[in-house]
Amino acid sequence: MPTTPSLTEADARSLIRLLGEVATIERGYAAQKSALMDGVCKIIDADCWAWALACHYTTRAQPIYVGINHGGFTDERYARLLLAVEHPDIPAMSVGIMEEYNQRRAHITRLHREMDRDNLFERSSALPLWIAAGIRHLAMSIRPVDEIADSVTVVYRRPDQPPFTPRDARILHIVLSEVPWLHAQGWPEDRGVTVPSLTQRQRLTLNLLLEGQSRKQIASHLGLSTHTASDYVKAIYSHFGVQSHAELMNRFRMGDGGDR
Amino acid sequence: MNPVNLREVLNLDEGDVLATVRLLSNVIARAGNGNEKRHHLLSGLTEMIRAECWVWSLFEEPQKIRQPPTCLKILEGGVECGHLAPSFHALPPLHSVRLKPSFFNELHRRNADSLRRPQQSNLKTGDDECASCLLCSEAGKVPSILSRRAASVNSFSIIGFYRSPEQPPFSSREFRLADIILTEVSWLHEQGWPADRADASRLPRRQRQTLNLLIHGHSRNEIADRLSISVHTVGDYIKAIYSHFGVQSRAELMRRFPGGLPD
Repeated sequence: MPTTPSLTEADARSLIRLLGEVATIERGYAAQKSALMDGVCKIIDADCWAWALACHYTTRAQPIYVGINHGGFTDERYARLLLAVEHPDIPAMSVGIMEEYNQRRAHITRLHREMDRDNLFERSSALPLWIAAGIRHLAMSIRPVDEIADSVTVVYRRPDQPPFTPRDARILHIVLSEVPWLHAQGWPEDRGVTVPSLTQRQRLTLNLLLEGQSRKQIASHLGLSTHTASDYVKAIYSHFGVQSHAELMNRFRMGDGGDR
Repeated sequence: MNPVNLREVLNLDEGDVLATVRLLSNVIARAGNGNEKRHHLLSGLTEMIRAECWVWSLFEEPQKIRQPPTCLKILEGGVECGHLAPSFHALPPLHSVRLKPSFFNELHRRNADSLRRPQQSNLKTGDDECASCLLCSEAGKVPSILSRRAASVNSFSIIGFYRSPEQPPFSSREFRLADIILTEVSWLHEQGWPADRADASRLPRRQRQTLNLLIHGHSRNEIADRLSISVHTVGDYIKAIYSHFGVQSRAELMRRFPGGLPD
């Protein structure tokens, strides 16, 4: 266990001010969640954040995500992030957090250097993919949703920024653990239990479809022909038993927070 | 005045920060208008600082010297339960209480030279920037924390937390917690809710006061009493207000202001 850094009064005040501001947002749960995450990123000087449902997360296996929400990314940059996450070195680079998480099954938040103790990141062929996504540093928070799925939040910094500090991770952890409704809603009803049976390319396509991207955009972001992208889209529709893009998005839509 | 433990004052208890984050998280998750959220947050803070009740009042400065300010709005929680009610009601009106800076300000003033901690500047309450000031009052020997803030040119807001007379005074930790929340959550002292602010500000002053009382359920007679005008005049104001907002009834008017107070 890393030692817990204590908060300064300025940090506590920033957090309280942020939450007070989020309380005045009346555009619903998704808007409050985004505003809260954007605000936390400001406090810890993160460049962007992503929130995903991790299906059947096990140590050393390729993590399978369904993207739920993110901030600070353009469409193109988000597609690059998805590609970087799919790199085969990723499980080895996050073994530090996954071992501990699978042992404790409790909400933990870790810095990049705690996750990747051997610093594989710097030597891996994944590095150029991350740099292409405009990312060099990250901190990750993972929390059980139920027996089959986990809520994963990651904050990122650009290559020209310094790494996150224990204070940054502490602030992220406080918000993600003390604001339980951040995790309570917004998961697909079946927790994406069948997502792992999709192929890797289909999963990438699924995540971009959930962003509302068109077949043409998906083809361009994943370096596919529109024809191939269409085939993936058809396979995904048939997998989830839906007839349209709207119906698919509806299946994975964020909840309205009605029973937070 | 409490004996002050400097360590206690300078080190923020992380448990308090976590509890505050949880409380605010509940306030956000709670469906409801601005005043419901205000009620929830002030009641939660009351519990955290082990006070028994809270009161929020808005005052409009009198136009003539020697007149008391007009109290436009009172929201309160916990006043009627517990042992506090009799002594609370015997308190002089809020606006007439002689307020003095809390011992925080005193402490800061006295120790500014001896403290060499980076946090020391944060001890200052009543920063000009937020125009909020934390005050303590021993009026009627009811332990209290009062926070005053200018609301606009002619009005000010006071939020007070009280304990029964037999209870000990508030500790420095409790003052600090109240100070941080009341300073950082700016809307606690503000009239209305950002989304509610219709064009009430364009009404003449007396009509605006009438509107404030009207949408909080006061009768024509009560409004006349409060504003020291005739019931007939109140009737005229109400007609003007209805026509200003294009409504036919008080219910319709109240729906226009779901958050309670217009600006």
